[in-house]
Amino acid sequence: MILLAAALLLGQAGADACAGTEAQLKVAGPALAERHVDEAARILAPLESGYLGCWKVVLALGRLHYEQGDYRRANTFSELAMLNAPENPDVLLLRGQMLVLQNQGPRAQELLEKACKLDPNNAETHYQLGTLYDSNRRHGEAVAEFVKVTELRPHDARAYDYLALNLEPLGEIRKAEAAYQKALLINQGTMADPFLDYNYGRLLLKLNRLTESQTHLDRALRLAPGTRAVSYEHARLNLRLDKLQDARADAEHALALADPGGYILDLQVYNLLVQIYARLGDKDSAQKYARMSEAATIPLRTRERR
Amino acid sequence: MNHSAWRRAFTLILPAVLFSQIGGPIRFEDRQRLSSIDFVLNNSPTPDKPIIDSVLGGVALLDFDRDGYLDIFFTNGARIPGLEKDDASFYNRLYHNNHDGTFTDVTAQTGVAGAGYSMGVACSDYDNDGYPDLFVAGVNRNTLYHNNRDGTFRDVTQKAGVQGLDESGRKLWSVGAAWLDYDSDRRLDLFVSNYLDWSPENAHICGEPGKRLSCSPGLYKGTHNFLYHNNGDGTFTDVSRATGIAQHVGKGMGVAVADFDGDGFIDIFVANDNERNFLFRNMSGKTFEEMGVLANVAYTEDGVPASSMGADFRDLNNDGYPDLIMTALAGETFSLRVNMAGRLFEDATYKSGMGLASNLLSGWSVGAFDFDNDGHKDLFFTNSHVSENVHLYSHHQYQQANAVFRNMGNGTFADATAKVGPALQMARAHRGSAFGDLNNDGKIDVVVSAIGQPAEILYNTSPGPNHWVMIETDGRRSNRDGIGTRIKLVGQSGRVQYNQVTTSVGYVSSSDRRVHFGLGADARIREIELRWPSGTVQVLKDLAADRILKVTEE
Repeated sequence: MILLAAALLLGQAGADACAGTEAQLKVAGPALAERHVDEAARILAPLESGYLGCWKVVLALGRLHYEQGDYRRANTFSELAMLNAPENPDVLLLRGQMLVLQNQGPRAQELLEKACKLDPNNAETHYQLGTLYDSNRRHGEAVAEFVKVTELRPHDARAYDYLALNLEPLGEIRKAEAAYQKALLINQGTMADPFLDYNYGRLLLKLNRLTESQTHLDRALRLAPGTRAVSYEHARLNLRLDKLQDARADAEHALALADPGGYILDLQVYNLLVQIYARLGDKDSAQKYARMSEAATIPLRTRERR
Repeated sequence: MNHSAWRRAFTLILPAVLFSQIGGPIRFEDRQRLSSIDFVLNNSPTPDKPIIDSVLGGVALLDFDRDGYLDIFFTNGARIPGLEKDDASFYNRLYHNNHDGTFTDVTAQTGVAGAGYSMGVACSDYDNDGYPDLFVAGVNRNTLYHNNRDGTFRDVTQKAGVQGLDESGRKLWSVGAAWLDYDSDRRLDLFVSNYLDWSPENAHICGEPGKRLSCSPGLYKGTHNFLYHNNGDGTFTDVSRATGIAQHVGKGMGVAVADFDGDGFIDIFVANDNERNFLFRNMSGKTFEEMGVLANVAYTEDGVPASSMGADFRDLNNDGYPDLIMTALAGETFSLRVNMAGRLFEDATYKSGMGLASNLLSGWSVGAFDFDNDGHKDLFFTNSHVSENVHLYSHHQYQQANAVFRNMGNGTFADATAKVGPALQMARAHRGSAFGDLNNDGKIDVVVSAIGQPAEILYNTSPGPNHWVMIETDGRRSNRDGIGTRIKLVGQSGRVQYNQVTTSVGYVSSSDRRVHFGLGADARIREIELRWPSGTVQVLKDLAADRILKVTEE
């Protein structure tokens, strides 16, 4: 209903619907791009009541609500903006992001790819398309997008992190490590990545460089002590280092932490605990977790073998 | 580090250094065109890519006529959906070794063309008459062939009672098999791995039209495995339930057997596809305790199930305890588990360098053999993704080259594939493989099946000067083949190695039962100790190298 009313309002709006908003939009745009959300909110708040006839304001507000995590309103504004400016790359970007959240990946991909064609120099669009490819395990395409992001937005540590994460499964380990190291040099500000040390520490663990891995996983634990994946990985490192009591403490802590994203399954933590307790000689605890592991539900990964 | 610690380290490191210095390059040459072997693995490709058409391809090396040279047996598919071998291109094939690098197709005269959609094969002399018999596992037909000792085989499946029927009389889809004497009664018993509950009626179709993919096994119910006890009169009794084997439902593929805890009874490892792997610990020949999770062989290094395919269960670090190497699909890595004194296994996948090096490979078969005779068992993998159209959906490739990883003697493995020769550069849909010495030159050769392509007859042409010995066991109080015999060899230099007698190697395939040791620079052997399944411990001293040594149980 709100959408319909707003659409009507937009449809009736004349060419001067945006008159008087130029100055605010000019400042709000870069603020949003750099994720200075409070500043953007302060600038855009006065426009919400009087300028819904202007699609540029609608778009900016949609972007603001998205950054604030108010996805319901962001979705409404993105739909509204699409009705009136379906060829605008910024509108396509916001709509694409909303569709990703709604699990409409193919349609989101279509819009984001179109946005990239219309405005190939928009770092955020490449970033969002890259994350979509990443989630679909299309690593080669993801790498191309994140390379583009790092060219356009060289201070984006998250993009380097994603770049590295997608280089790893392609077997490009040296390049991945270079990307992690670049990210570490710039990991600050609004585009800082709290999981950079976690991801790099994991790679170093795979490379059997345990001391270096420890440096990064220790820092990851300080940065994200409430994240199961981090405690789990720290436990695995300690197991490799034969620090069995530390591994036990980390793994038990990981098990106690909720993991709403489902990154580390209970099953994985159980199995780690089985190994740790077995190595400690605590047969009862090892057997307890082995039974829990055997009873754990394993999610069906995909219908197909890809 | 105190003095004794130094000595221990020195004792461990010095031989490794010596051996690695003399280890020459590993080379293989595909002599299929010269061999007269024209076998092509026919999976009956159809547009919908049913799950059966991707998991076949067992290979066996056996000396069926006892002329001293290994012959080659290939399993084959059948027409889909009828699942009958209604065309000669679907026949299983047996090729006789002519001792000159060529082979003769003897399928017709030996009577082993088979029936149904075949998968795996296991060879051993189950009736102790001195001649190897053949068991062929399949989707709709399992077959036990008895070797008549006159160059022919006879189908004895019905009499033996190993048709692969569950308690309700339904034929389960069998994939792999292994011969072992689990209760040490001198008679080889038969373990059969069963995959999942598939039929043409309940088949799923996955992927887009024209771009079909093999469906995930997660869409189907698993099945239990079979253990058949050999009654000694040509019949077998299904003891799957009585021994605790049938209580565990999985999606079984490759089977490997070894006495992992050194208690004198052979244990059984089953690679399960997308389910946790099983390690059946043999409880004194009476029952089995499944302890895959506890022993740390059930899951990937990251604690989730893998698409486990093939396995070899052998002592890779020569500490007297068999280790496990397993294959899986790309992105899962192959998996190396090091046996920790028979109690549990340490995951050494990344520690050994295998993890990142195998991450892009999809493996089926694997064999741990010392290809350059330097005293360290190397690894050979047959590779291919399971889904023919996988490249349309991801960065993975269907057809892949096989791979060789060299054992560096320090707990790590290095990918040596690029230097092995053109034979290892061929990207194909490889499946099963069997390992053995085809020309009795002391170097382990490999025979590989590939869907829709000629089999690869890979002769080991590694040029190094290293010495070797191959031990052929002849059981008297144990089973005739000596399956399960654990062998410790001490070389002239004092270097100690371990291996065991088994034919169950890799992916649903059956290898040379003779036990091979590379000896490096040792031209003589100080001592060989055989621990037979009967409990007999036999020691041979001061032996010459570079020969096939037949050892009869005392």
